[in-house]
Amino acid sequence: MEERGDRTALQCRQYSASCREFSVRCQPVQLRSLSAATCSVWLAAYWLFVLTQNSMVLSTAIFITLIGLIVYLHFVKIDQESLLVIASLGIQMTSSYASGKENTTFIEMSRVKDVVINEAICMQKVIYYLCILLRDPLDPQSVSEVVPLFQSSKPRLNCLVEVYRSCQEILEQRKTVSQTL
Amino acid sequence: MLSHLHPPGNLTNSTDHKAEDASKLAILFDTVAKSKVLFMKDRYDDGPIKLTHWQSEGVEASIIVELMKQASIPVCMLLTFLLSFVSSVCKSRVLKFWPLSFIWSKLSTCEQLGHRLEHLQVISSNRKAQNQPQLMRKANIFVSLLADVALGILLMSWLYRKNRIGHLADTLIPAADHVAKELQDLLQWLMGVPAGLKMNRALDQVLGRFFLYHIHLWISYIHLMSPFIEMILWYVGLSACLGLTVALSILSDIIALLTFHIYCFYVYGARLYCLKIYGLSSLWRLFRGKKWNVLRQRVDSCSYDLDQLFIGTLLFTILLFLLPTTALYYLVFTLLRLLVVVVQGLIHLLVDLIDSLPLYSILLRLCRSYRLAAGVKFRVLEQKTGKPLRLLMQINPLSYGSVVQTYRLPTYSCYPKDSWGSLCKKLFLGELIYPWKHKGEKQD
Repeated sequence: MEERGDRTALQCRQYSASCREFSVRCQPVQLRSLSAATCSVWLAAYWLFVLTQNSMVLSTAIFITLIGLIVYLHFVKIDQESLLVIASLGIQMTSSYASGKENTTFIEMSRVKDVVINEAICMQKVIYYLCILLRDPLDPQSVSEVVPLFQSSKPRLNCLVEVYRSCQEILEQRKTVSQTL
Repeated sequence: MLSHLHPPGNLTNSTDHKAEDASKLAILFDTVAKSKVLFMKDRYDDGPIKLTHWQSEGVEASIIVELMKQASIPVCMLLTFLLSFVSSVCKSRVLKFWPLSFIWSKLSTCEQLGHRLEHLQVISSNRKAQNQPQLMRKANIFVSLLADVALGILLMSWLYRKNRIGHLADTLIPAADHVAKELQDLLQWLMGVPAGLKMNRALDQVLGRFFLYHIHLWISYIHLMSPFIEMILWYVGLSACLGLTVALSILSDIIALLTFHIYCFYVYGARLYCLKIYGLSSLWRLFRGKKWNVLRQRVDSCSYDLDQLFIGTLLFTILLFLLPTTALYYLVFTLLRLLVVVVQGLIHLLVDLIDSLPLYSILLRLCRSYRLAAGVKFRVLEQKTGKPLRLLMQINPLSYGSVVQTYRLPTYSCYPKDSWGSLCKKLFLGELIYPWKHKGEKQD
């Protein structure tokens, strides 16, 4: 069985005994794909210009390229995803885009039931993903929602196992704390 | 409360389980959000627009705001009185007679005006808003109305400059003539050999001449109205100052009136085709020796007499061979009608968008993003060994999509009545289609 995928880098930082942060960096924007996209758009625009002899086509192509690049960098291309686990407070997920925008979601510890690695079959591939199981307020034993993590960077199983082990150590701490209280 | 938390769960749960289940974070947030001192700071680091709190500009701004607050009470009372007068006029018995009430229900301008009247009533009511959603709703309606009227006045100034509306009125009659001429050419094509299909000569001529005469009547009517068109259009264009939505509704109604003959043709063609299809299906059952049992709503076998069978089969053959001609006329006029419906639908979609967009909430999210909170976010600050963990907690503002979804204004929107499957079935059987259903209409 082979593993495929882009190059990713995992970074773990421990701030204190009960607080850890895991960051996964995705592959940055490649120069060759950027130039390929720009060249294809401009070649098409130049061909249209030769057909119609209207210079508006060329300015429209430049406009489209610029707007497309800005939209791609600000809304589509995710640079880094990080997970901050604080035993007494909760779990926070941050995705930062290539343009610097950051999207943050924070889940309180009282809503978190567990952190697990799920296996999914996607067409002909088997993929593994880390997810947070949320507790149902009506029935404490059942799971109300599953929140998948690292959706865009998609680290492979060895990264996920590292993150899983560290998360479980921290979640153990919250159980001991609630039992001693 | 200076900042409002929007929890991610659905709101139906939160009202039941508020007492037992309020999360600690929500309680903390509510407490912090009530402290005014925290929000009086001048600098707001987040967001693309850096604005300072208006009260720090100086005493003058505070005085103006206080004066506006005091002046708003008599203005609201005056507005309420005017609105009650207008609504009593609208509800009077004079306008409720049958032809007039039918026309009012069909014109989308009247619906839009009624909708805006409701909005004005909401704004000018004297009761203060009880809670955050009501306050946001009032503010959204107010800003939306202002923006609408501003756009309408802009449109009006553009139309009346250089007498563009006169040019528009001048091109209206030749445009209607052009459409009628195109329809006549289309009918001549159908009466000949359309797309290589061989039509039944007699039926073709009858239908074609009938529709041509109808177009001739329509053109005479338009030419009769032509001296008054410019004046009517000039006065109708003035109503654009009531708002861009009203202007768009008037445009949609004008399109409906100008293409009324296409609607008539569609109805004639559809009724003829529908009659033919029902006749064919009933005679087909007779051909096979069966009958439709109305009591039991099913198909039963039945023994017919010989002369019944003979005439039935004859009629069946006649209807079957006349089917292609009728079907072709029906197809052509249905396509034209669907084209007009699509254009009207797009205009209504635009009106709906302008009506329901919560402009005040979006501006608030842009300039004062701390007011609409989706939650909190933490950042770990520099640690010192031996000391406890230091975190920075900030407000995590709501995303624009959630802002629009939470604070959308309700409208009388039209949405498709039928699914694609039932629409195709109705088209095939020749039943008349009214593709848009308005929220207030009764189900038929």
